[in-house]
Amino acid sequence: MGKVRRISGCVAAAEAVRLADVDVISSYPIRPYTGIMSELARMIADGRLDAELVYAEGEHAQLSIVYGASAAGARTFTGSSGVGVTFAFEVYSPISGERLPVQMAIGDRTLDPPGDFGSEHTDAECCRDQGWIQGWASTPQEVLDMHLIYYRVGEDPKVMLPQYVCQDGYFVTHILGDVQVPDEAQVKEFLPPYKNHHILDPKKPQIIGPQIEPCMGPPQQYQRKQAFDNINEVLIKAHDDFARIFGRRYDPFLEEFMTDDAEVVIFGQGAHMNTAKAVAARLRNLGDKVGVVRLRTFRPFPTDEILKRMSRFKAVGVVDNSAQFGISGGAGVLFSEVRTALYDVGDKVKTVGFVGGLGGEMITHDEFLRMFRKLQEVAKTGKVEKRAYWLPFEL
Amino acid sequence: MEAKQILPKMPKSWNPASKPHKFCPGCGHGLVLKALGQVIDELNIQDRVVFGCDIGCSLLSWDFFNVDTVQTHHGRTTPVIVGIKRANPELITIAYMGDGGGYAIGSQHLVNAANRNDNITAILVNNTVYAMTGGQMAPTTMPDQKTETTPYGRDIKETGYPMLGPEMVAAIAHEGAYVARGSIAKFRQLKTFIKKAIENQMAGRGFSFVEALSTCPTNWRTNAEKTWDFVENIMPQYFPIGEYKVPGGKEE
Repeated sequence: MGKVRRISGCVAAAEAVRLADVDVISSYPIRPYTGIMSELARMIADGRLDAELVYAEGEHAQLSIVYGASAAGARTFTGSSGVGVTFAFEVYSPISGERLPVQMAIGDRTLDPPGDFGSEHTDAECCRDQGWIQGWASTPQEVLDMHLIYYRVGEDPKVMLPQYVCQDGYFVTHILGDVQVPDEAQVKEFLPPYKNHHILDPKKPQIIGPQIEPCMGPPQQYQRKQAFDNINEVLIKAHDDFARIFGRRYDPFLEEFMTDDAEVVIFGQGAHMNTAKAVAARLRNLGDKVGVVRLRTFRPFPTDEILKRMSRFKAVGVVDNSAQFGISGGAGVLFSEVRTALYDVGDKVKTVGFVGGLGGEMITHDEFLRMFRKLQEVAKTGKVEKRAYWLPFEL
Repeated sequence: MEAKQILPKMPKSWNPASKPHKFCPGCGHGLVLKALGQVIDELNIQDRVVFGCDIGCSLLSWDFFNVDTVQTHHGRTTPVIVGIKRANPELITIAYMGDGGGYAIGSQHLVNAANRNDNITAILVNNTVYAMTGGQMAPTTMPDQKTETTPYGRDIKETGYPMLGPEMVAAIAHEGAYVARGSIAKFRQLKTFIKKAIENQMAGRGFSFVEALSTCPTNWRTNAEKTWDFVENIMPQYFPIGEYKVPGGKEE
């Protein structure tokens, strides 16, 4: 049944990579994700993991290395943070376009500016539309589990797509939590050995990634869209099997906290939602009908789940831990997409956007309290005076 | 009565407000920047210098001098400095980076700036590790050297050899370029190399590049004696000190 270890999000990710018996890893140091690669290097040096670890000359090379390794039939792993994530941008779409189920860990960090070491979801959210599966873990345990689940989903023959497993920098990468590290036998049952049927093989020559004619573009893009449409079904099955084998059940799309009779909820993703839950619990003690909904799968965005499950609330406050300048709605991408998802219920559910925690600052209890109070005011009056607030300047 | 603070003599081009500097005790950056500061003073070019620093520990020099300064992205200092120089050739432009920035993520920029013979000066501080991120193996890590990612020492069969930067740049650089490797263990010689590199730029002869062997006791986990022994005696065994390319041929 494995054992419980008190480890950080970085070490949890490395444990998942070891358990997944990854073949080729490419690394380049940048805080805060670096700890994953340091741990993997130690595992390899100690003989606990048999894998190729390539010390790349930068993130662009990192992603290109796993592109090649995956095309040659290897299970691969890489990762980065902040500007490292964006430096590799060119390679993301080719990897998903070639349907290579590469996995990448992102330990969030601000882009420049502000260029500090703090966490923001901006880096990973930049890559949201490149054809990768993407989700945020909020604890070291969830990091380990999500890495395993995403390998399984990404490598499913109906999907064959790469995956970003994101965790908040420092708030998860560097914070210790009790993590149930499963047995290798359990993981083998859940995650079969990687088999790609269109790998580079000199006996059956093929061409990967060639220049194509414009007329070949639409079908290729449509195939990638169809693969994306298959993800939810595979994701649900993977979560069911995961619960059966490991005894931990996650909702594949949305984790709900104290939402049963909630009138207003905070919606967001990642570790900041742990703070939101603490504040919601405090307000519940005061008799306030508040709750929290945490998004677990960001790509594909669970539009139907949100429409189905969130139209029962009076007001939804969407918290974006990212800066997307000039975006529709005036907050961040989560706000924009939740509003779109809830469009079909009309004016019944009021939405308000909040941008917080930029530069790696905490989103404090007090800030969440102010957000809940604003939402309660909106629910009571039925009026949204201001669509979006940047904290702490505007609320 | 207020005690008068006694400050050590520092180059005029330094920014006293940012001293003591931000580098770890025993770090070699301070000595390289001292040599550069003295050269800026001696050539009387403080009002013409633009200093660019990279990511990694070299970025801690972003307020080191009283000169125009730009901090760029990892490896990107060389092309940013090239852009500044092309826009205003009157400026004396210096790209300052570590071995990770220059030989890994920015190696293509170093190679191409040298090949274009861009009239800038690049100074690269080689401490054999990615120091800012916790001492991972770098392109310059010595054979058998222990780092965060090579806990039993760098195995050259698995991870290749340390990169020989000045040798590489000298091999592709064109006539007019100046290329040298100095060491903080030979301070006066290092200063001479940096001075010749900047004079080369001032004379408009082309690209100039100086690698400085340096120390990182924090990540090497060495005491003062072992730190100095490593930079003075061990590193030059693999990274020979001297001038690799001098306009008009090697001077004796």
